[in-house]
Amino acid sequence: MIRFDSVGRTYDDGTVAVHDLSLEVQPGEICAVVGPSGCGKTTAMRMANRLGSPTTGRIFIDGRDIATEDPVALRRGIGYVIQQVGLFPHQSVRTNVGTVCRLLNWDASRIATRVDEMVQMVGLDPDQFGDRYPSQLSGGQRQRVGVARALATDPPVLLMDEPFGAVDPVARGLLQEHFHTLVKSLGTTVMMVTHDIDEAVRLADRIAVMRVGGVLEQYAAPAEILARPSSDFVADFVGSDRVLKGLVRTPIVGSLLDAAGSQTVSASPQLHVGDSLRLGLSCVLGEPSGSVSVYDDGQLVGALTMDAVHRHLRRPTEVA
Amino acid sequence: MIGQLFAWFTDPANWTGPNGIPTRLAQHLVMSGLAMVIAIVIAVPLGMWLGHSGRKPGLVLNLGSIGRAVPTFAVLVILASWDPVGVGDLAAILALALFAIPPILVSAYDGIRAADPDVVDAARGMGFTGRQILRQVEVPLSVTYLASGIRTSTVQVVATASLAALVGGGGLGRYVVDGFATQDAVLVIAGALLTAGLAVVTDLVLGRAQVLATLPALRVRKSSQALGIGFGLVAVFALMVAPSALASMRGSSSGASVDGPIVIAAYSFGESKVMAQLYAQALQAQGIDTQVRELSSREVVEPALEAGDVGLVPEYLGTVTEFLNKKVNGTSAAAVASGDVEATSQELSKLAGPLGITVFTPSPAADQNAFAVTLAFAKEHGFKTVSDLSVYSHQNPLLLGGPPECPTRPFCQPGLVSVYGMKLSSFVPLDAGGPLTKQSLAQGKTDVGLVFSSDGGLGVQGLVVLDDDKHLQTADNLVPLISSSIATPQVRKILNAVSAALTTDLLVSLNKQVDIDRKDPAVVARAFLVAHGLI
Amino acid sequence: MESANPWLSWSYVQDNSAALVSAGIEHLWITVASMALGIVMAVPLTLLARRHAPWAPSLLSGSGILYTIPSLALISALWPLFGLTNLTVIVALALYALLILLRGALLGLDEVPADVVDAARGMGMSDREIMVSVEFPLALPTILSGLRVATVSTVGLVTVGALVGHGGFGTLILGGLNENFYHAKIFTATIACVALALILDFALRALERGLTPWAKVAV
Repeated sequence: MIRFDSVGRTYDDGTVAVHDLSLEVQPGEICAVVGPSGCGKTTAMRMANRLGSPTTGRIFIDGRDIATEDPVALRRGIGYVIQQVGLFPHQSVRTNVGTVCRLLNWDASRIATRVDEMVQMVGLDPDQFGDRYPSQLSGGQRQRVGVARALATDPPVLLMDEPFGAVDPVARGLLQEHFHTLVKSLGTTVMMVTHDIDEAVRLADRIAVMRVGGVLEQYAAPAEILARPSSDFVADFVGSDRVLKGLVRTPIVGSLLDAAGSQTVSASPQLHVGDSLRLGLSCVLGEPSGSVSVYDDGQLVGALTMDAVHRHLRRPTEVA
Repeated sequence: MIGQLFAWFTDPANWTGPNGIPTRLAQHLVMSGLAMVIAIVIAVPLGMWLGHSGRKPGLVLNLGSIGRAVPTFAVLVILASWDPVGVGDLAAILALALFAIPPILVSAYDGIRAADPDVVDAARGMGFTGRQILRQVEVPLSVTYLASGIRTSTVQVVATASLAALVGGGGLGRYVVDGFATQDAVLVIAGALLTAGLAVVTDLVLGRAQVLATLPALRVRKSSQALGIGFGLVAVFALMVAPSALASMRGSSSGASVDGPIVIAAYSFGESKVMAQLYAQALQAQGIDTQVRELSSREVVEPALEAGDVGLVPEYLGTVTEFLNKKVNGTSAAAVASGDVEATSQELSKLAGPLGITVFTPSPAADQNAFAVTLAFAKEHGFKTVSDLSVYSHQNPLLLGGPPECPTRPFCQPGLVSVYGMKLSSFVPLDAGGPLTKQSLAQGKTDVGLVFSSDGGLGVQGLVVLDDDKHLQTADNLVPLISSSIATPQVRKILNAVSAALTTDLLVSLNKQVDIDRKDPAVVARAFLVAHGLI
Repeated sequence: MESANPWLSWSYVQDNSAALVSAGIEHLWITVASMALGIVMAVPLTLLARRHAPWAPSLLSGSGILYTIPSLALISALWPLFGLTNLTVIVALALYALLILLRGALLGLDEVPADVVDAARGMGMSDREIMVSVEFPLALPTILSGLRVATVSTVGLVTVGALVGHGGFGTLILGGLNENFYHAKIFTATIACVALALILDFALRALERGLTPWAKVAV
């Protein structure tokens, strides 16, 4: 869906922002571009909707070379969310969300329905929030409205630049989860830039790791990157606790569990099928008996132990 | 125009004497300086105190907008009309000071308030005394803000000081006002350039000073300012000079219509206005449409009369005859006006006819230029005639007050000097026998002044006219000059009837009603016309 | 001394209501015409300055210099071209208004948050759409404030037009001076002028509030 073909960006003074970047994001995939400050990730992403132009190489969206298209028309077909969101302060939430719909000349009733739909989809009550001004919203609420605005016309592609960066940590987790569910249900292809490797691991289907100088170090699924970083740089960036990080993507399933023995049912915490293995490990470590009961729909299905975790980690690895 | 301006600026006569550029510049700067001193002395302590105590923030905030809403020009005129102050520089200084106080007060206030309360708190917590905080924190910040406020104020004051000339003050604005009075475009533009130039230079110099007074941390570096300033200076010069250059290329334009009401010109003193009303209403009563317009001087009116933009003007026989004489025959032409009304009238017709102007029968009423002094002064030295005064002047040169064009009028300053041998120390441009001149005499700011013999208010102000024993003044009977294209027999009959009904004494009483009793000239004229059966 | 010459005189107002009204109409007309002309000139200059951003600071400091020209000087300089008509006053005052409006517009547009403009551009708004739907509305508070200051300032400057016989209330003020210091005339005209300025100031403040509802409701 999104294809970078040997894309490079060098400034007049000789600085190389992006160097020979080639990657492809499949339809419906979430691709996270990560790296330290100055690695060119934002520059690269902004070239996808022609807010910047490559000095070398080409970018294709849905098979079309974007350089041949009218930039304004192109952008109307791509969702765009930035860190500070950039909601129009002088317009209500409803008006903000309907921005691109109006640019595409949808008729008024269609816009009105769609807008309320989108506001609902991001978890806000249209009646309560529809007519508020951005200054009357919290950071998290503004973020949601920004996403609603970007997806209002159900664009095939969504570009995001540190979308959850300005939100407080407590709200962030919820937003990320919600967001993931939303775009997956819409089938949108997402390219998002973040400096937060945890966020990338949680949300992305594939992660592109870049280093300063605009060089792509590795482009693979989170599990792959965590398990087999292709270079010292990637390993460093991912962090030496990468094993722990990787557990966040693994859900607890029945096959991991030991039989529920005669151990007393642990009062708290309770684990459920589907919780992340990382949470499971945390509970196991805190449990004196080293074993935590796991439920599914209220039914006790087994126990999670340290051994179970080790077994999982030592299984023969497959490419994700 | 550019050539004429260059000639004016390079003429050494314009650089010397009481009307020279250095003198006027000095007056301008002194006025501005005094106004600023007064304003600073009042506004800075007051603003700082208000800022320190934190009181009345609302008042300070609104002071700015209220200050903007009151036009300086109005305050200037109010002060000049108020007896304790009177016309002249003092009115300007006070008005400018009042005008400068709000911005300075606000900047002093802001300066004190700008000391971040957190910083002051921390300083106090560290053991700074109140005075140390004041000296090391609040004052340096204040200086920054004050520098900005004072710079802006000073530039505005220097610019607005140009208005002082409108109320008889000095300064560079004098050239503009005098230029308008004599319709001398070169003088007007030269004045405009000088006043604009001074304001701009002041702004640049103070701008530099302000940067130096600003805390380095708060300075804003604007490297492109030089380009902007250059562009601004060029634009200022162009703006001052280009319109007149354009106009002279295009040739004179006339805005008045040929058909339509007869435009009757009146000069801006009561007698001229009531005369214009007398003629206007007499014509109007016979179904002839008229419109009275106030214009500033003969130099404006006469060409307009020739061109047909003005249809009728009540004039003064001897004075206008000599005016046309000089215009037609050159400035060194021999005088043709005299004390003989008949002879002078014929000379006038001879001059006016070829210019498209018709002269009707002069009225018995006459308003001569006359020279007046205060009654007390006259009594003290036993002055009865102008010659008496001249003798006195040899040991005690006199200050002469009169209309701005007086130095060029043969019956005014030049006449006093050449015919009477009077010694004058200097000339103060005021108005043509109007309130400025009379007030100036009454207040002792001038010794002798040009007034009009039919002025209804001389006695009231303690002034007396000295006899024109050498007949410097010619017969100045009221006489209507009319554009030949509208000088029909009917119009002639109507206007002559009005003229004939007037005598000098009647004229004096009309003037008193307008100038002293402050009645509307139109109302006074109507009453007269009705009383004499003319309408 | 002389006959009574009170500053406040109701009989003056009654007797001269026609003159006061016609002076008021001239005053208002010149104010409105000058502001309109100023706005008409300000719009293209603002857009030009935005397009050639490096020129903006020069334009601002240059216009600051022009603003120091005394009103007496500017009106006189224009007189040869426009004669003793109200056009002389209107053009001069329009230039002063232009300088204030330009400053307000450029400052206002500069204050528009960059991220909002970036979001707008990224969503596919053209430059013109961005200016019309985003930048201009967000710059409006500062622009309107400049409009208000320019208007009040213009009302005061109209009085100087008395120099060429078109000063609205200023003509009455100058006339009062020349009519033997007619206090009532001078003072009444002054009060009327100040009242006009305050009324316009008030009205424009209300307009500011009405046009920018989002500015009031900060959390």
